[in-house]
Amino acid sequence: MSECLSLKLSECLTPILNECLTLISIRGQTLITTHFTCIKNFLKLFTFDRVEITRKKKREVGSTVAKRLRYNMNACIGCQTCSLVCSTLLGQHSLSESAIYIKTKGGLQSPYVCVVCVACKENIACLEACRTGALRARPGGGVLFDKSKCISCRLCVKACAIGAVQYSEKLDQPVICRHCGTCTRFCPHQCLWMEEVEEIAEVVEAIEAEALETSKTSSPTPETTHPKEGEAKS
Amino acid sequence: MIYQDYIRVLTIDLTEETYVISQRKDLKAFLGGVGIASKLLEEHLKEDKPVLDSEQCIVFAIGALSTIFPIVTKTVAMFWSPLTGELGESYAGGRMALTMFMARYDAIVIKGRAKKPIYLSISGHSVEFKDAAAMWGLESDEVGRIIREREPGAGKRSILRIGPAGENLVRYASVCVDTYRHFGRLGLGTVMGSKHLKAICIYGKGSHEIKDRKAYFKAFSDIHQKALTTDLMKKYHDLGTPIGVSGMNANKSIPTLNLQTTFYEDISALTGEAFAQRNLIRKTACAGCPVGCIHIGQFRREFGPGYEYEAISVSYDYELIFSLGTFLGLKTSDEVLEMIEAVEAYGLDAISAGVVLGWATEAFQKGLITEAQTLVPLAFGDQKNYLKALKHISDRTNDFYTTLGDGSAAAAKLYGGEDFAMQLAGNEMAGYHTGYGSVLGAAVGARHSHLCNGGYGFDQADDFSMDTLVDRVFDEELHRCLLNSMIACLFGRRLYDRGTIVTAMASIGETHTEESLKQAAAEIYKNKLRLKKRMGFDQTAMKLPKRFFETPGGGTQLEEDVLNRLIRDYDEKCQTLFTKAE
Repeated sequence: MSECLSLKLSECLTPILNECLTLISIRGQTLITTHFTCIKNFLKLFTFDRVEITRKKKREVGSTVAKRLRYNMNACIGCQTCSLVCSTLLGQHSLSESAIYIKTKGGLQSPYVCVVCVACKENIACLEACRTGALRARPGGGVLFDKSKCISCRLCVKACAIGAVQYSEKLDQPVICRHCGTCTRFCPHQCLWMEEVEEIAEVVEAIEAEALETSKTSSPTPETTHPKEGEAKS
Repeated sequence: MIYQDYIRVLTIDLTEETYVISQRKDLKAFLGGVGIASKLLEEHLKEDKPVLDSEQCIVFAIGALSTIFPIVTKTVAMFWSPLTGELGESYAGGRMALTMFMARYDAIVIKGRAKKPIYLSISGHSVEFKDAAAMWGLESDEVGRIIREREPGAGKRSILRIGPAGENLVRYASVCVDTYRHFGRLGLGTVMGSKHLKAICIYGKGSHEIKDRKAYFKAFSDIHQKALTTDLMKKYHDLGTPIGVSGMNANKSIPTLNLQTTFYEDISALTGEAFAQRNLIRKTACAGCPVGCIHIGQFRREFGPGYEYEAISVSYDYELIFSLGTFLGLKTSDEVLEMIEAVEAYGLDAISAGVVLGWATEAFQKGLITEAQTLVPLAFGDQKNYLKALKHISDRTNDFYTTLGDGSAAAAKLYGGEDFAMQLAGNEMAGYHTGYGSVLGAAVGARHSHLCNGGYGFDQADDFSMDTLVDRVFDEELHRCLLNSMIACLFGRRLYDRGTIVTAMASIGETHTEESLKQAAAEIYKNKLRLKKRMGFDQTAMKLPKRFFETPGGGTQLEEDVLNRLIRDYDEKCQTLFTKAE
């Protein structure tokens, strides 16, 4: 398939995709499966490159549209590549220093489950539990972590009802997904993707301010221009 | 260990319930995996004592690139094989390599014999010897569940266990790793049984700090991308290894009815497509592998009147469809899956179990053994009786099944029918009768497996030539010593050429050249050959069953003299390996 045609296809499909994702947030998980698979199959018909689908959804550097990590585990093969890649961002080969955690529902005969921050936008439990200001609300949902303010009290770990805040004994800090999207680039079966989040004007401004601050204070890492908090400086 | 100049070895003594850690700088030259495992086996082997003596050991090792690069997912186990009486070498995937890596052990040596049944709980901080008396006799699946509930670390642990066959010292008992993968061949389960070791749980919650993040990430990303764009995904993820069934059958290469033929008329219900359409319910992967070749199939069983059904799911592969399917004349995918369920539960090697039943069926037909011995009449295609026979093998019900549990070579020696007991040096044949390459490869392969050198692959190559066959098999055996030191899954072998290995090693601070890797591989192979010699193996004295030369493989009628010449040529090449170095 020619590059030109792929481009046109993606242009015409993006609105459909967006609409589907909006529907999903209203009606729930089943719908994601149906619509998403349906679209994927349709794209396959046109030998549309799957890698390209992922790229299309990736957050562009400097974009003012907030994104958050989403998953659909039906295609998960349990390879744990996401966890291994995530821990790399903290300078480790590890499963414990990863913010995304793959396990089974109950033994390997059962489906895989993904334990990761769901990017709460209201009533952010870990944020409310934090007494030191080490966590602050992240545009698009979830939190951003500042290691310099953390006293390793682990209240955030206890507070998260879905167990998505991991704790690294080695680094003596919580490990929380910051929705940077690196894992989505390496998931071999497209179980993970970044979803755009609609934000009100003030929040967009906050994102811009944050992006500006980030670009001033930290040097880009090899794998992402949005390094994780607490990441070892290379 | 990664980023260190030593190999970190955990040595466990089951008799004394003690363990020590050693940092072995001298092993670093042997890279990892099979390289270090063969050295450790060399150190611990007591060839003057019986194979299953308590002083013999089991060595597990991970490789130099284990699980931090895509498809580098395997753990090797080395031991003295109770089936062949020589080199025991077996590979398993699952999460074991990842957990050993995270628990920071390159190798685990287990020796001694526990006073009563136990299981080992290994983490980065401790080794615990836990009571498993109540688990003794339980099927593999049940043991997995119990340990899962007793031990911490969901998602970060690996659970190895044996079934009743291992406890009863059936010589081809397997070890199940994480439900769907196995140390299948050559009787590791038997060795564990002899040590009263029912299970091992490895919890890997540790980590390794990355030395050069930029270099590692680049190398990782490049290989990951390459893995996703090769035909690996299509070949191994879509239909999985059973994709080969129809092709092998069309080429008249799939061993059928105890290798009386290599073409199966009723193949349509046993192809990869048939399994996928009728039984496939999900796919899964070993930790660190983006491909996901593990295919889980489900079948429904009526266990009582009044519409009483249960759904059972097991993993299936090409080799199992051959050994428990075509080799025994079974007709449907459901029947094969039910056979797989049985070998899983009892903890038998699926290939050996199928192949010994093939011999038993033909021996029964020919009147060499009677129903008084087999307890059920054995006939090709009679799955229900095969299920009963598997149980008898596992339980070692009578003298006949006890002998059958010693392997087809032992059984044929006692009851006759050696011409059609399809084994090579005591190891039951794999699912390829493609020509000279398949038989030569398995005959000279260090562990007599189709995976030692992939000899069957050369038969199918367009540029096949008898003149180059020995060289190609030899070179591949050598190259796989390198792959098995990393330890890359052999499905990813084309991805990991020497150049790629050099790059990957460099990114984690290990400096090698293609030439130095080649030399290391040669040293590793020499170690393995030395071990085989100490175990009393002589390649040239091997006697192959006549059936290999009666049934054409891949359309070629093999001649015994020609094959013996090839084996001699190969042996000479092995000798040169030693003389060249001196």
